[in-house]
Amino acid sequence: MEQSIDRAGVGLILDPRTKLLLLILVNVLLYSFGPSVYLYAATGFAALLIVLAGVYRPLLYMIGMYAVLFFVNRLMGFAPEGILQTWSALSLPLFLFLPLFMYAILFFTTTTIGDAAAAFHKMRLPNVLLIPLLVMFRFFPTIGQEFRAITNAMKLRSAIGRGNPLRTVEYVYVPLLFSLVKTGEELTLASLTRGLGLHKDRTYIQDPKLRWFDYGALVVMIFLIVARRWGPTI
Amino acid sequence: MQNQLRTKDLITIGIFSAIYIMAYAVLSGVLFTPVLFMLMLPIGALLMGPVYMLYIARTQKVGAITIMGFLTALIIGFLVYGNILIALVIFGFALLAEFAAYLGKYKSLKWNILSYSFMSFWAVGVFGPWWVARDWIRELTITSGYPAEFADGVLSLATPLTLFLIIASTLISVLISSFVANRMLKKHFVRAGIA
Amino acid sequence: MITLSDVSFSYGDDDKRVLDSVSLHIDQGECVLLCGKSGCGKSTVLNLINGIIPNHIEGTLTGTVTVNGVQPKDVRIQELSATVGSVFQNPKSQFFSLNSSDELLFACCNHRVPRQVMQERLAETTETFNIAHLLNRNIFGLSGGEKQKLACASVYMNRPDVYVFDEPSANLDASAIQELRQIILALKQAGNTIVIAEHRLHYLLGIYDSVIYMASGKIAGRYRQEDFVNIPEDERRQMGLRAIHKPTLREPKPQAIESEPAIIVETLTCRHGNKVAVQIENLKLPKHKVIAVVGKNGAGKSTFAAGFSGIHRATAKIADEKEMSRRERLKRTFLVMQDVNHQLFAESVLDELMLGHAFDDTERIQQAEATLEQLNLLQWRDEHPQCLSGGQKQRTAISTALFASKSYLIFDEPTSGVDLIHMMRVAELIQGIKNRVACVLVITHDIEFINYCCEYVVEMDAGRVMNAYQLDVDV
Repeated sequence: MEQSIDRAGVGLILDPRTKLLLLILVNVLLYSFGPSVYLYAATGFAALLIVLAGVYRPLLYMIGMYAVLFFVNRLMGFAPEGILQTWSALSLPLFLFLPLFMYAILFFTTTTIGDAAAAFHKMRLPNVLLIPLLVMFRFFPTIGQEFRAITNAMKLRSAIGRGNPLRTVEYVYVPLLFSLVKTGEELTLASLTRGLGLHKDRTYIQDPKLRWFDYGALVVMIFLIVARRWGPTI
Repeated sequence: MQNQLRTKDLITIGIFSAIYIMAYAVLSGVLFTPVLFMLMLPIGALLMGPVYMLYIARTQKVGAITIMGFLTALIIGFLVYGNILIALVIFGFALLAEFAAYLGKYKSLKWNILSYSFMSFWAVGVFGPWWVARDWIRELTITSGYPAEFADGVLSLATPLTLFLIIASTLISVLISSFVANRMLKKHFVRAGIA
Repeated sequence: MITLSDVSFSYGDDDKRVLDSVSLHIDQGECVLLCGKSGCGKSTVLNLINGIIPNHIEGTLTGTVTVNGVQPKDVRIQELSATVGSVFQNPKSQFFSLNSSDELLFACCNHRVPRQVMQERLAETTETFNIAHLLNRNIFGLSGGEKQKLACASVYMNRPDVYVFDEPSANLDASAIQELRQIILALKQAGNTIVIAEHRLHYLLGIYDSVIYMASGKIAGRYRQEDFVNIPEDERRQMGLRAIHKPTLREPKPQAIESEPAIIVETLTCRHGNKVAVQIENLKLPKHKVIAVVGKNGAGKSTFAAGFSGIHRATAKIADEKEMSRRERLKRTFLVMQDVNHQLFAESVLDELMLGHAFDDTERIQQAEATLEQLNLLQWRDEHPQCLSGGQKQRTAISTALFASKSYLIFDEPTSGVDLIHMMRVAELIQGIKNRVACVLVITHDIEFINYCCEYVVEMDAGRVMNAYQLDVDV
């Protein structure tokens, strides 16, 4: 759940709407037509877009992970059948849905929350969906912090954590939920006193615009779909 | 009580969706494989009951569950898995969950448990194709460079029996979790006046 | 600008009035300080001005409130926010965004300010508050002082005429409080009307024009600035107010007597990743004393506490009678956290102590009740811990530590945001338990509190102990 907050890379950043559309189109390419060399081309194209945006790290992780998987797959050729089956079942989805993951990563690593909100707003997503979405992103790190504070507190209470695991879950939930509800109430006051919900609509400082490379990226993706449907089967 | 969602409710929706989605994102990361993935249904159902029940108790308005479902579909289905089909399945289950809770006016324990069961089954969207679209999965696997035996091996795990086991264990989890949740609500949250 | 005439308010259907026939008038450009004990009604006055009462918090309201010619009860809070800006005490819960620039623009977005104007205001606000370095940052990476600066700037972005501050300094250290002072001063000089409710008064010296002293829902005194600053010490304490002038720490003892150490920290090294966050060598902590751990935010005080108590992994050689492993330290120390809500798990105060024990063990129950009695909690034994007041929660946490026979108690900022009476109660409480444990460590910024209750000071900076000394005059 890593969403960039303060930076979105330094290179050619696509408009968030383009990235969403690319994600839909790659789904079409996978589900309507099945895998092909065109699908792999789409995967490579996503990698290219991530690099052009100036973000390298997630890509390096992906490449590393797949290199290991690929290597193990080769080795598995010698493994007994039971292990082989289990392994293939474990590793399969990682390969099958790689193209989709790549476009999801493209979206997550190169979009700030502010840009995403402005883009969703331009797509006429109403406030009843947009406000919870923004609140949600704001709370992801908060939940992590609260959870750590609570587990720290539990370490000092040796009585907790022994015995029934369902009770341990309860011991985490009680302070966590109380604290989040209280934070929510205070955030409501801080939001109302700065006008949240005053109008049906808000304004945004970001002005999402489609530029030449947005159109370029979409043309490439549509070309891949057309080629898969009517082009040569490779 | 006004029945329209107000700003205060939208913030509550955001916070509870954050807990719900974060838990499932972590679970997906830990269990990310088709076999272990089947465990996500019972484990998820076991863990999220208190969050879900407190959520219903605190919002009590039409639309709250649907919005949580929409956000889960958008984030988990669409942006984490990158998968439209999964997103649609999640949203569909959320609509059912909303309807069930609505029938009990968001106050009936029975209807809320039914609602929670629907909300706990959306993850079938992730591994459902292994039962429903066997040919498609097989072809996809083979053209992805795996030998045919691989695909058949995986498919041999996807039997009616395993499906039954998953559904049964999930329903049991739903019941246990709802029971724990209900007890926690009474013992803690109602007493403290936040539910 | 603001007028309250004969205003009374009670929450819900309650008969008890939290405000009782309050009338006051605040002029355009005036800066008014509201002070008084906790629960005296000063926050209620703020909530009447920004419209939270009666639009969000329901209750019985009589009398009239007028802000800039408008009655807050007739408009939505959101509409009123164009005139009245509010800054709250808790930085954790007053941010809507994760990105600081989004946060600055938040109010403008809600008020549908056009993009062009937003940009102009952003530039001007950045200049006025000198916050160019805070733009486009992750808010969770900012210090407490920076967060409060951002909160003020984000309210300023909407250009209200009235600012209300509800205990803005509660979570800040000394240097951050000075920054807050500069900001409030700048807002005042720009001609805004300012109303501040505060316990900590000294940093506002010279800013407020007048002071309203409240007690049990009534206005119990009005002062011009020059009269307020001349209130004698005794009378100030009688009123239950914290220091009006900046307090200074007591002198170190000229000839300190080596008292027997309770514990010796031979080495303690805590790391964040590869970075050494805390490195302490040969620190002796005296037995049965209250030890203040002081230093700026980020000096490593909390990390020291986490490493000492065993919550975080640390390379440590810590010994009292014999060397203690991390597990033993976890068993023998207790940390009363700044946000004590995180350490209350049970459904009643008694159960909180009894966690992990058989609930029908009558002997243990009697012992637990005796502990509660000592901490003045027995009458709350069946209450839900999360429903108690802040002070009662703190005492509940302490009682769990005493009941579990912990030897080392560490308090993290036990007096942030409390009034004089509560501060003195915490001081008495800590003095009262110091002989029951080996020693008590208090991480604090509160000099007034140290003067009341601590006997020994450990000064930290950049992860190291700079100085450790006994204070003059025993408490």
